[in-house]
Amino acid sequence: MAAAKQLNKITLKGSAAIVSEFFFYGINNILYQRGVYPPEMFKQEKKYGLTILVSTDETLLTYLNDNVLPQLQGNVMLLSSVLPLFCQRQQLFLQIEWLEKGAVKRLVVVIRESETNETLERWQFEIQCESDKSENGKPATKSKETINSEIRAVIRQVTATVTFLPLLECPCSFDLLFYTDKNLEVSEKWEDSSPCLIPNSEEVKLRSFSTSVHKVDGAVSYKFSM
Amino acid sequence: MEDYSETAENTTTFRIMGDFKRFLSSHSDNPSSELTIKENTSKASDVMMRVKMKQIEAAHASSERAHVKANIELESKFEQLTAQNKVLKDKADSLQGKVNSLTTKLLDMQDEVKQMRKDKEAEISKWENSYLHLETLKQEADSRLSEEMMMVTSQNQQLSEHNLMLQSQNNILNLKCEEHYTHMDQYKRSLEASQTVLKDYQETKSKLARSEQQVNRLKQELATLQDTKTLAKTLKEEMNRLRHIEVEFKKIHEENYLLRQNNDNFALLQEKLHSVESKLARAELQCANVPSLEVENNMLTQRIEQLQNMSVTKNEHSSLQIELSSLSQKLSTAQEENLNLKAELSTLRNHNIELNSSIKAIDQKLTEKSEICASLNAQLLRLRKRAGLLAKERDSIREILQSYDAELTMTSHTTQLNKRIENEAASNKRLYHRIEELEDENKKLADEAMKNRLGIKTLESQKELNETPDSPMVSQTMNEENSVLREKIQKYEAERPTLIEKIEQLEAWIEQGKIKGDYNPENTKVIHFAMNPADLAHQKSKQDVANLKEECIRLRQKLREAADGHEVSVAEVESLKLAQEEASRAELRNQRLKEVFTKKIQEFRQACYSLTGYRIDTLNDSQFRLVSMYAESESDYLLFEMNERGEMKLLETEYSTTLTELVNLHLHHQNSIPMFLSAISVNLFSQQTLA
Repeated sequence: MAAAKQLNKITLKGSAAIVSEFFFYGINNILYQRGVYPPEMFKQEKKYGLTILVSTDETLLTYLNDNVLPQLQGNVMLLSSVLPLFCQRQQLFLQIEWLEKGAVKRLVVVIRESETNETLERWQFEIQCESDKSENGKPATKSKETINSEIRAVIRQVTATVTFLPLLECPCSFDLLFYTDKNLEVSEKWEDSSPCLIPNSEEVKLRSFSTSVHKVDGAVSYKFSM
Repeated sequence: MEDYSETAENTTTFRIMGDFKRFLSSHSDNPSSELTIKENTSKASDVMMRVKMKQIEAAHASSERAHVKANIELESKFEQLTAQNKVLKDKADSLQGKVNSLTTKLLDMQDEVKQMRKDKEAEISKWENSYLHLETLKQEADSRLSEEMMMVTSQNQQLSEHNLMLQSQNNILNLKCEEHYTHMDQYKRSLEASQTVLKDYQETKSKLARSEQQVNRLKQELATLQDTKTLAKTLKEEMNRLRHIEVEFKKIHEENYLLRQNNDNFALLQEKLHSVESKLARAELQCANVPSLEVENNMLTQRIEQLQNMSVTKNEHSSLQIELSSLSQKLSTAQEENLNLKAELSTLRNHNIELNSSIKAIDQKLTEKSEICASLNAQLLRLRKRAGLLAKERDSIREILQSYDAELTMTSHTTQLNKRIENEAASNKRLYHRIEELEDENKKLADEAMKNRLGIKTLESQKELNETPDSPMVSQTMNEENSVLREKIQKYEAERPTLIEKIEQLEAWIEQGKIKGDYNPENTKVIHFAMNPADLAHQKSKQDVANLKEECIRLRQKLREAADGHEVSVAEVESLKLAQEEASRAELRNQRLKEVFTKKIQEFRQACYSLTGYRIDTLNDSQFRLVSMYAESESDYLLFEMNERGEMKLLETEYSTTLTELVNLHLHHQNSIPMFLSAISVNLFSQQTLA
């Protein structure tokens, strides 16, 4: 019984791992659905009870898994020993350390036109730390199944948004923006960026999911031209 | 044997025959003797002779037969014997073979024996030799032995001498030893004595230690006994005190019970007070209603008067009167009610005053009681604590008593028990000290509390005194302030919904902004990875654009040049001229070669024609047409075809059909085309010459 209860408790680290994994799959899904990369560069993978298309491009994967998060590998090894439940995948995405600290407030997937560098779409994920409760000794009790179902709903909605988003006709590329604490120390590979706002944009709020430690609110804003 | 049996039978028959003849002869003799004696006698003698002859002959024959028989028997016996002989001979042969083999064996054995003998002899000689050798060795050994014996004897002598020496030394040593032994004995004795002394000493020491221990123990026991005595005394005192304390405890319990009862009474009184106060409030309300009722009454009376005036003017007297009467009745009842109410009010006021006074009195009582209660509660707490401590003490004392009882039963663990008692006593003392300290503290605190309460009371009374004269002024100012504040509150409340709306709008706006990507730059910053795909793609596209632009510029330049008209350089013209010349030269050469080839081919064909007498023309598909020099017409030609292997075949033509004989002979039989051709040319030539 004790063991079963233990499994349902989600620690800060476990939550960070879940959120990071969601971002890996979510970003891949957006890139596939929006046609940022050609569809032959993706392979099918089963996750959250869905078939999600994950990129096979080495440079993209290294960007997501290694370059964006250079310190991640060590953390992942550590986490995989601590949290075998949540680390089925070795390549975890997103700076888990930042997530644990609550330093990342927002993650934005910006889709820009390669030629003009004009921002066409912003997929924004607001990350709220609800960890105060759990740190006060009250363990989070949300089961992994419910979290997965919430994540599934978010990813499904992202897939569904393709129906109303304008077609990306010119070659595009993407960037990841992190809204972090002003005082967060980052390595040289990171640099300050503009928020890449879209003037005259249309916004659509997406579903949210919560690990009971982190809450992730999704939204998409896109260039609206009549 | 059969023969033999036949002979026997035969013999019997002969005998029978003989007997018969004899009889006959005898019978004949007798009658003849009488008649003719002389003649008969001669005749008889002849017959006799003949018979005798015949008898002899018969005997001879029988003897011969017997002889033959015997011969035959002998022969058979001989044969048997010869067979036996043969068998024996065989046996003898075999035996002789055996004998021979045995003799050969014997000879072999003899040879072997000889050899053995020789070997033995050789061995014997060897042994003899070795014996001799050994003997010599023995002699040598003997000589050596004798020598050694000599040596040994000499050594023995030396040894005996040495022995003597040693014996003498030994004697000396023995003497010395004896001396030492005597010394040793002396020492041993002295040692034993000293050991005995030592033992005695140790025993005495141990005895001393034991006695010391005993002394110590005794001392300890003494001390413990003294302690126990003192402890017992103290315990007795404590027991006395405990009894006192228990009595006090009982008293406190009683007091407590009383206080509780007081408390209950107090609560009842409070409830009563509450009910009275509520009644009072109701009465006051009614009192407040009184002026309004009076006003109503006045109004009503005025109306009635008006109505009465109206009634005077109007004719509807009766109805109005009825109404009036009813109204007057109502009025009277109202007045009565009013009076009643007034009376009630006055009574209620009186009651109120009384109640107020009683409330005050009760309050005073209550305060007193509460103070008493508080002090009693404090006392109670103190006493409870004390009771707890006492209970602990009692328990400890009981334990001690139990231990005493145990001591009485089991005196063996006196020291442990004594120690325990000491500990208990010490703890008791400490507890007493603690209790005393706590009690002192309690007292101090209670005094302080009393003082404080008194101070508070005096302050409150002063405050009341101070407030009472200024109360209407204060209330007025307060009321003014109140009204101002109320107004303000109303204003703010009016403002509030608009502000809430604004806030909501702003929140919505902020939310929208958040969704758009706005952020607070004071506490957040936006970072991204330097080598992100978008920037890389942008750079790449820039690079591509730059490259394309360059290319475009280049191409444009070229185009422009082309449009302006290309000025041909001298070098280019020269090179072109040279090229053209070269081309014309090459063409000329080709032409010449062609001419030469045609000429040569012509010559060759001419040569072939004049040499072979045939003109050979090549047709399509490796076919050759041969027309003879002597042909009657051009249509008389032969067709040959060359296959892949280079072999020639004659094809059928009109002319060839006329040459079946030649074809059969030269092509089918001889398998030679040159012969066939030459035969044709011979035929044609002969025909032409004949013609």
